[in-house]
Amino acid sequence: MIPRMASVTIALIVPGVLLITGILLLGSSPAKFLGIPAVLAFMFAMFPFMSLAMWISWRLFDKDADYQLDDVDEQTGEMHS
Amino acid sequence: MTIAMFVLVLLVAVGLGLYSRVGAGSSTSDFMVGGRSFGSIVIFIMVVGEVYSIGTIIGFPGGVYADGVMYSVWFMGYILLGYPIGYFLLPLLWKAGRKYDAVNLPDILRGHFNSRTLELTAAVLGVVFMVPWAQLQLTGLEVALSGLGLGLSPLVTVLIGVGISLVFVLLSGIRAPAYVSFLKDFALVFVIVLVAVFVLSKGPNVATIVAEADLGSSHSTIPAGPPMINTISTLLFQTLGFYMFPFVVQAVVSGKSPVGIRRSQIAMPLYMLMYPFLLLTSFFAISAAPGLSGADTNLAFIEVARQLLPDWLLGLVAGGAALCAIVVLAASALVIGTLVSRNIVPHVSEARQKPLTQAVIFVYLAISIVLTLAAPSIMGTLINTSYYGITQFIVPVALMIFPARVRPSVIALGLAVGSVASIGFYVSGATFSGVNIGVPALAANLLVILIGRFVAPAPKALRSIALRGGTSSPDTRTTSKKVRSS
Repeated sequence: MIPRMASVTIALIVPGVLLITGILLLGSSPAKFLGIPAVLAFMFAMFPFMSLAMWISWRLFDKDADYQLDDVDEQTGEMHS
Repeated sequence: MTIAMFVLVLLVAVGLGLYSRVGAGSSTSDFMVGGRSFGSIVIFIMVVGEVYSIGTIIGFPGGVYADGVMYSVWFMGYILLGYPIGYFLLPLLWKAGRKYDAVNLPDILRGHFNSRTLELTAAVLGVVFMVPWAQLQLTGLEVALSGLGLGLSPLVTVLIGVGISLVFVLLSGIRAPAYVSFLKDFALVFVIVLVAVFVLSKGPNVATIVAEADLGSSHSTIPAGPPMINTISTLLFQTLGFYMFPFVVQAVVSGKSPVGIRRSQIAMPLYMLMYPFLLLTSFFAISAAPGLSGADTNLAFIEVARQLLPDWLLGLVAGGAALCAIVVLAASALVIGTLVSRNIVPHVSEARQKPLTQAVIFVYLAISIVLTLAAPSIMGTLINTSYYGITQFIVPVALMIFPARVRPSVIALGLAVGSVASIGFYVSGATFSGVNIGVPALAANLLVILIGRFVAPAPKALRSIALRGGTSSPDTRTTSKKVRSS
């Protein structure tokens, strides 16, 4: 169940860095987008982006990953025996 | 009409709670983790249901009313960043939960580190820092019911909510909050969108609402310096604790497979698309209901609803909001009961765990009622207070994934030091130039681990739970088995 580094980068590191950077850059700005404070418009855009990033990781790396279910079944069986 | 709609919502919820008993077993396992039979949709609903409590619908607008975008950015940010962390972390917690036959985090820690001390420390801290979470629900419930304009006393208000929560939990265990969450999650989004639609149709446009909110003091920017530091540090600190809450771990180990749990994380951020609607109402409240301060800022959302909605819809809104508190209160109470009967009180047989859990639930709710009535608080403060302690659990969880030669007793000491430090900082009013006080408390926790690692290291590091077969030695599993069958 060790994730690939590429999966961690796409699903966690890139969106995480983007989120923090965006808040730091836009948080103090008086700029508005369609009347909405820029930092809030940015956060709203991040909602679907975060889902998209995880979905890409899922499709490319994690859908067919080894979830070690056989390993768990084996030990659970021991504990219930 | 207002009351009729309110009662109707709650009756439907009680009906669903009772329906959840159909086909359910009566074992302790079924009571606590639904027989580990929940699929990805139920897990999604449970996690969403328990994360988005009345703190979202009532507390969030109150926080924005008081602090503007600063509050909303850390609130939305830590939840958003929590999901990709959960994407990688939750399958590992599920695996550990299944291997150790665990129903909660202290179970997992005992199984992995083979330590009763660590289990007990984690359980006690879990109980202590879940009390503000219950206060949060009861405070929100008071606000929601005040919207009905019945003039009910706070005591009567919280007793109504607690009474319904007890019906859910005592009859159906975890199945009731799981099933009722379907209705509650729908009601949450419906209520938020409904009020926002009324704001848009009866109020000015978005740009004017934001401009009017900025007239007194700026609500649309985060000032540089300590406020920005506080926003970022709170976001990062609480995102680490997002999936450490006892009720979330209990929901995760209730799942059928790690694949379903991971898939559920992908869709979670889309549920957050309700926030733009909630923010609209929050900003509108600043100009529509001026003059609220302190704990009264909690009233922001319900005040807007009272001004704009017809009576029967107000009843629906109050009912939906109350349901958010009741479902989360029920799930939290069940988790607390489980922690005490299973992890704190030693040598309780499986058969006696269920009645003991039910007794503990009574006591937990009673304590929460007293604290809610004795010390009314801003809801955002209650959320932060829970996180100060709960986030400390990230350290032992990280050590399960990235092993180090640290003794379990040192890990327990680190948890205790981090938690006590956070309480100390909170009580003393320490500010740390804007840094969330949970951060230095977490640093204290880590310092204990570091000292323990080099002064009195464990003979060897355990295997990571991420590795195949990687949890603990055969001796540990035997111990775990003995405890289970006692």
